Amino acid sequence: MQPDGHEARPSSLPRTRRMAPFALLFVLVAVSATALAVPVRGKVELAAPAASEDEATHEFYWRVWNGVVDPRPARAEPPRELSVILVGGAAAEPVGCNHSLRGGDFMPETMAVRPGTALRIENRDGCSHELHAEDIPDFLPLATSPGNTRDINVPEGGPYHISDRLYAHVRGVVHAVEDLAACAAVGDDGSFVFEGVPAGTYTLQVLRGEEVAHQAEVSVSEGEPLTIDPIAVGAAN
Amino acid sequence: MFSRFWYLLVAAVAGAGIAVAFMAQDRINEASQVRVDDQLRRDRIEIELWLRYDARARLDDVAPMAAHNDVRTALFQASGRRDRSELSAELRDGLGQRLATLNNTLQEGAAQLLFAVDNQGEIIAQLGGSTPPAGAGLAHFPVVSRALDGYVGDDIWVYNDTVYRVAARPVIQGGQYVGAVVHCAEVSEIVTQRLASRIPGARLAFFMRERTFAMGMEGQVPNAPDQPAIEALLNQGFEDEALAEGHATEPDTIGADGTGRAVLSLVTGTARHAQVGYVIARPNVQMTTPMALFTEDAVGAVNWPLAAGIPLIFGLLGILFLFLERDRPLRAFGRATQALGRGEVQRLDEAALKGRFRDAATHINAALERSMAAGAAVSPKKAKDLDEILGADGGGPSSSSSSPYFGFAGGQDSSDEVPPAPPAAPPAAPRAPLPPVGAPLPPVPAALPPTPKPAPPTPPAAPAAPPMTPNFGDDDDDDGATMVAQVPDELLAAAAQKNEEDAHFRQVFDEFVSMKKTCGEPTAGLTFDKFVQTLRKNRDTIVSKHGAKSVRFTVYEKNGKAALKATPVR
Repeated sequence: MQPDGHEARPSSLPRTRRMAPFALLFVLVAVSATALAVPVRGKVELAAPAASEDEATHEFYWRVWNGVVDPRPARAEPPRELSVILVGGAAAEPVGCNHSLRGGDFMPETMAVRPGTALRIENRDGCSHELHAEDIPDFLPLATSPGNTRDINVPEGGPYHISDRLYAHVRGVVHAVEDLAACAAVGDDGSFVFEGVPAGTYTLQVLRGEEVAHQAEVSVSEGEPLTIDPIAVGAAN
Repeated sequence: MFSRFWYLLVAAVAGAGIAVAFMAQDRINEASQVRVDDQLRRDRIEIELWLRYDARARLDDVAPMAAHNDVRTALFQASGRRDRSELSAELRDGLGQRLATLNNTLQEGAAQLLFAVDNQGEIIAQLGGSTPPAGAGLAHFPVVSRALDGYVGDDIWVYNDTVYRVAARPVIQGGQYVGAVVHCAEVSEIVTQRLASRIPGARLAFFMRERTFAMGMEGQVPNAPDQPAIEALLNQGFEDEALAEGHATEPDTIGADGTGRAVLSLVTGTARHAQVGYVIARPNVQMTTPMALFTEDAVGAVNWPLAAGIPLIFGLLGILFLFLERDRPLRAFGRATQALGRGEVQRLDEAALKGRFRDAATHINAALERSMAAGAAVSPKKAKDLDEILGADGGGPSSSSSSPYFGFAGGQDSSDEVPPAPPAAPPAAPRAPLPPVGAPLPPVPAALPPTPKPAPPTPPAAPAAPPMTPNFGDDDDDDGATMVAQVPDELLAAAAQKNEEDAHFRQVFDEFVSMKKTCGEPTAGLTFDKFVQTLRKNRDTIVSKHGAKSVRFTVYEKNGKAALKATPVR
């Protein structure tokens, strides 16, 4: 007690010094969480489509084999056709869900997005596209020049169909998925990988067009990379 | 009869001609439209054929590029990148320069946009157009995809707002597909004009949706549908099922005034999805009136000898019918009446006349018979006017005109007056038989002066009229209005009494005044005394000159004026 009878008040520490322990704890947790997030790998064995019949008439005058080397057989294109996603967990935002126009088509054609959020499509082609969706009223056909992006506000429900007013072959399907956690990068051979998946239980879905071609529960453990057994998906109808 | 029906026939032919003209107009319009529609269908086939050949020609043009060693080598290296690493600028530039050189050799067939893509469809080199983003590709464009699979093919693209005819060929190196060359030739005004030269008389227009972007036409075509007319057609939409199935629409009317026909077709290629197509339009001017038939060429093509000869023959037939049915009988009738008037015959020869003239002759003969039967005392000669009667002693027209009597008649010479129907006829006399036709006339009574003109026989206008005046033929023959005729004895006896004469003069005066009022003539200064004085003066002159017992005066209208006529009574 001090001579004037008043109790001595503890001296106030600087605010930063008082918050330091909490900050340290947060960093430790974050670092440990990142360190504990693991990749999830797998492979989709997508059956090759049947040999294509003569394509739609009225789209060309000539379609002639070159006469030297046999034509390449019809083949599946997993990066273009498929979308492999994880649903569940507590991620604030989905990870790895990038969509673009590349090579004159959607990449991939099957897209997933959380409902009520914007699906952003980047035009990485050398030409403009005029995307529109008849079942999303506000998504009117507007030109998207090379290098620009187009955002689509995807409502609940779906799937929704997006097409290009200039190119008939540009057709995409958008799935509105609640609790979408991550989108995988799919390789030419059908292999996919989710990078940095936090531990937890998820639902892995393989989307192709309007359908969910495969769905399974997956549990991701801390620090243990997960490899999923190959998933067989039949040829597209 | 025939002439009447002939008029009906001519009217019917004229009506039929007008109807045929309108029907011909409709038929001509319909035939014209059918012809234009057929031509449009052939035009469309011609355009499709040319586009097909053009696509084949461009595929052949691309072949030297796809087979060139530098191109093959560069694309082989590009396709060999397993990690899709960035290619060296040297490789890209070298490939671009080589493609430019090869493209220049194509001259008119040179591409405005040229791509070389590797086996993944990534653009390795590009000529023309805007620079694409790094890594941009064409792999999923159907024609490129087919080329990467080994097929030569064509397409039509909309690429950055420009429509191209596309030809793609695979590039083969080492027994494998290492890429493709994509040749893009713009659908330009020049190409459109070249195409249009294959369909003379038609306008060709390429369009994208409602907008035309290239038009062409061979020479100047009158009334050819213009751009606004074509775009108006495009604005009607593309709901036609034939379009959806890849065919052309049926020919349709084009233009606000409907002076053209057009077919619309989407192109053969993926650009049809963007509603890229072409319109072929031709003028189809419809006749709005049959008079439009009379163009210079059409008039020149008419066989005029035939066209003029037939109506001429028909016209002459009509005139012949008129002559046979009207003119010739009328002439015969005229001759008969002249002979009757000259006294050469006593009656008309009915057998020599036809139709109505025969009927008229019958009536005239009947009248003559009645007149002759009216009394032998009555002269068949026509009444004479006062001038003739008074002219014997030097009075003549001049003396008559100086008479106040004639002043009452309007101051004109009475020799101009036309004798109207005479007053009441005397009692009928025993009928005398008519002499046969051609028999000589009985001698004219010596008391009558020679007539200046022959008087034609009088038709039976009134049964009791003693001095008959013929009312057919030329009225000029009746010059000299005052009629002189003999009066029956009974009437002469009655006229001898003075009282009766005064009563007669009073009656004549009243009638004369009434007639003048009726004719709107002034009656001021006209008194009964002066009138009677004049009548008596004339009566005396006539009585002394012709030895008549009395004179009867009658009032009649001549040329809108009151006039008097004197008839001596023996």
